[in-house]
Amino acid sequence: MRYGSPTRRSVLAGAAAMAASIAMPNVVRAAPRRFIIGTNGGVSYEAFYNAILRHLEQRHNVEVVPVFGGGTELMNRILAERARPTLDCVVTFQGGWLIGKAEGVLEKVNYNNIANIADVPEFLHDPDGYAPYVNLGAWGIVCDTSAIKVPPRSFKALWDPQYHNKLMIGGISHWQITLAAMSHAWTGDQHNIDVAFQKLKELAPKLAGFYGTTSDALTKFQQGIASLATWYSYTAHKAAQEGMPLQFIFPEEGAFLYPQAYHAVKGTQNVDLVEKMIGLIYDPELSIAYARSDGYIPCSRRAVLPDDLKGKILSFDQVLRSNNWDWKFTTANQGAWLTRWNAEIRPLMRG
Amino acid sequence: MTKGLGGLQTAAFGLLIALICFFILAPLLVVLMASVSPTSYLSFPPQGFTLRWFTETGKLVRYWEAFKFSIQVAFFATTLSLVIATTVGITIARTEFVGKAALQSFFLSPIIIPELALALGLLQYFSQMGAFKGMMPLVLAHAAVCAPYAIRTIQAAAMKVDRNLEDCALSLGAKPARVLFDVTIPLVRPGIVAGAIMAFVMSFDNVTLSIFLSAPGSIPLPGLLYIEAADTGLSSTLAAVSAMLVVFMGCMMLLVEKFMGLEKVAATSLHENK
Amino acid sequence: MRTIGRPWGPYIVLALPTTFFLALVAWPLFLLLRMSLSVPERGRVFGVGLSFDNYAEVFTNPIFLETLFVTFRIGCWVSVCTLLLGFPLAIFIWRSKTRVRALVLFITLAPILVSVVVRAYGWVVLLSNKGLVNSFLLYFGIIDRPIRFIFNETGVIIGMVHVLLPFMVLSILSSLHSIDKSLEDAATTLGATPFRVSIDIVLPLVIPGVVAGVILVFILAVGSFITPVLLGGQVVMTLPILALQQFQTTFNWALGSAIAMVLLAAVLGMTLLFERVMRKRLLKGVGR
Repeated sequence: MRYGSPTRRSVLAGAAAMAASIAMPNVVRAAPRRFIIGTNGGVSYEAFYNAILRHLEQRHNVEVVPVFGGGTELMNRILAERARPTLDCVVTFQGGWLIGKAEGVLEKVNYNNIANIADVPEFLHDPDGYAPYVNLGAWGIVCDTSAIKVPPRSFKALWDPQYHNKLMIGGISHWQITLAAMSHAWTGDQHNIDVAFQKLKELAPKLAGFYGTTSDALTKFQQGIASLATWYSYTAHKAAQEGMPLQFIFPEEGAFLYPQAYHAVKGTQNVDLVEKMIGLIYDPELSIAYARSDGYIPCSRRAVLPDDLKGKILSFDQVLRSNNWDWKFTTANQGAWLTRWNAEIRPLMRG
Repeated sequence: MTKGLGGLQTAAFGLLIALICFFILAPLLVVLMASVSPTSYLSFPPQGFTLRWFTETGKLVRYWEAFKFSIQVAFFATTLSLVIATTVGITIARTEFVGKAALQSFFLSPIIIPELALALGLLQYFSQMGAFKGMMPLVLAHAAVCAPYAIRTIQAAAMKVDRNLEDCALSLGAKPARVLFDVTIPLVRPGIVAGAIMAFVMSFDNVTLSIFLSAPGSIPLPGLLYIEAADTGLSSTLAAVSAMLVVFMGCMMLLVEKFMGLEKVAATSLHENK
Repeated sequence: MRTIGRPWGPYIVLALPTTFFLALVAWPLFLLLRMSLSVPERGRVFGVGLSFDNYAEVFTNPIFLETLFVTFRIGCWVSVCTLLLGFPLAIFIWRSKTRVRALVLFITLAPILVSVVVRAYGWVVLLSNKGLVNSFLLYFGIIDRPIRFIFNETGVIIGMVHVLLPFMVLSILSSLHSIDKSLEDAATTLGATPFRVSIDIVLPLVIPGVVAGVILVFILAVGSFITPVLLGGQVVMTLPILALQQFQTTFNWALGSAIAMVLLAAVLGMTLLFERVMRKRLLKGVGR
């Protein structure tokens, strides 16, 4: 049997290919380009694939290959394999991409090639010409409505005795943004870190705990260990989709914007695919679907939230009233803050 | 001593064993509960019973792919570490030479290095070398970490083998190579089998190296489970996959029991250094 | 065998495995050492040049000593507890002749394939202040306020004992296997109870296996970070977590490697010391 007998799979594949060629005669029938993208795994990837990547594959004859990890893990990977990068594109947060830029492992993109970029406000553009921001989320207060009857309206209200032993804050990886945000809440300026340390020293003994990863926080909400957290709007949204009674509260001081970016990795042959993918994320229609499943605020001015998402996803007005972290300041000082956090704040939670 | 006291002791001992077994099973029971919970996360009191997380083949196929990949990596890593461990184990057990103790601890050193540091070091190294593609870095790294366990086992087994048997074969005119393959290795075989099982489990269970060194598009199961759990927590799908892994482990042990005798393998699988 | 018989034989045979380990373990380790000795540079993962600044920063960290102490204390507790649980288990598996043995062995090894993350969350469900165990105890009035089992050192120890118990059992089983069973039978025939037999006959003979198991469990315990992070509630600080923070949140590889190097040296020293003490004890105690 030199040529092999037709198996059921080959027949099916052939039929599918024929159907595809009939349905979409204009598609180039070359082998799909492999586009390797470092991104978050689990439920996040399922949502991202269904809302965005599926369309990238279909419209541009691409095969998306994911490499899963957290933002810092993936950036560490990019940094470690800079001699011969295996990834085309990587998702990072602001602290990560500052390191990526400084180390020269990221590639700039051409904004002219990004569809829908005209509808994206200027403050979401990268000042240095790297990829513009996507996955816009907000960092504020997340509240378990089944346990908290009167939710706090501001960051300062978290010091109220009625929330003692109910609140959790980021412990192992979110301390720097917590410090900056609390400095801003108490002094109106995020650079007064000493004040933030002072206020957190007061708060620490009255905390229900610290959280680490997303799942750590989720588990603590599910098990009733904590019913309040300083956390992200999109993680709360995803949990609410799963049926958990979590609600994001936009604090009076304004939430903090926590955007991510899909950066092209230095040396990739597929910068155009990164640009196309960002264009899809900015697509008004797709970004609504993406917002529904993943909870990210649509970046496009033309994206109009449907009624069922109003109140669940932050409005553009709220985005404009939000604050931005001074990541340059944070990145420059976080080493010293970490030492202080470990020595001064962490031990106080012991009680 | 009266028989009654002995009986009492036996009963107390049995109770102690039961308690320890309960300690081991407790978190697994929670996982089992989560896997049959109708909500996608575990809530108390349980709101019913469902098997649908075991039948969501669309979701499970990803884990199946990762499982198959894990088996492949573990197979190659085990083979490689066995070749190394048999050479090292038998040589060290059979000879005396200057620097033996130092070399011996050098061969066991991969166990002591913090894995995260080793993973980042290896990733840099492989990237700079650039000669390794696909599954290769993962297999090599796993072999380096698993070999020490196999070395311990095989060395211990080789020390127990009666040297007279080898001398006998040699004096009867057998070539040294034949003695090695026809006498020594068959006698050390239980140690090799045990080392193989140990190495396989260590490779199959490795998280940190698997996450950092896997090539795009292929990640071993423990790495995938870790990433999913870090994103989603104790979700019902993860719980179902974990439950199936426990069943898989049970089947493997039944097979081992049937063909080799379980306790023999377990007993030789981690012998002391000397 | 002939090659091995010559004085330089072992070196030839071992050349290839040594190269393998040099390439895959020693070289990455050297990269880490090189990074840890670089001049710190803000905003970069590691700098250039040569300095001991990173080590100076490790040793002047106000919580360094405390962290080192806690790491080793956890390691010791985990070793002791796995020994206390693992020893009876191993004895039982070794001695029992029924089907129960296979079952107990299965139970011992069953958790190995379940991800440590999943198991940690299992413990959270069981042991948190609102968890099953506390709810149960409160409901029956055995306690009047929840006991704090996890998100402290106790939780880390419980989780790690669970993860490392199989290693201890396998290690002890291996030395039990080498014991002549007739020795035990003789003692029993002479009227010793099973308990006495265990203590007087079996215990001295399994000490090598116990030492090997304790060392292995200690090494694995002080080096792990997943369980301590999840069950220590980010309050318990160990050296691997300290290193992890540098790699995963501040991108300071140089400082992270320095901490990893210090950990490596400390573990190595501790292990050698323990082995030496135990060997002396063995020579004195067992008398051979």
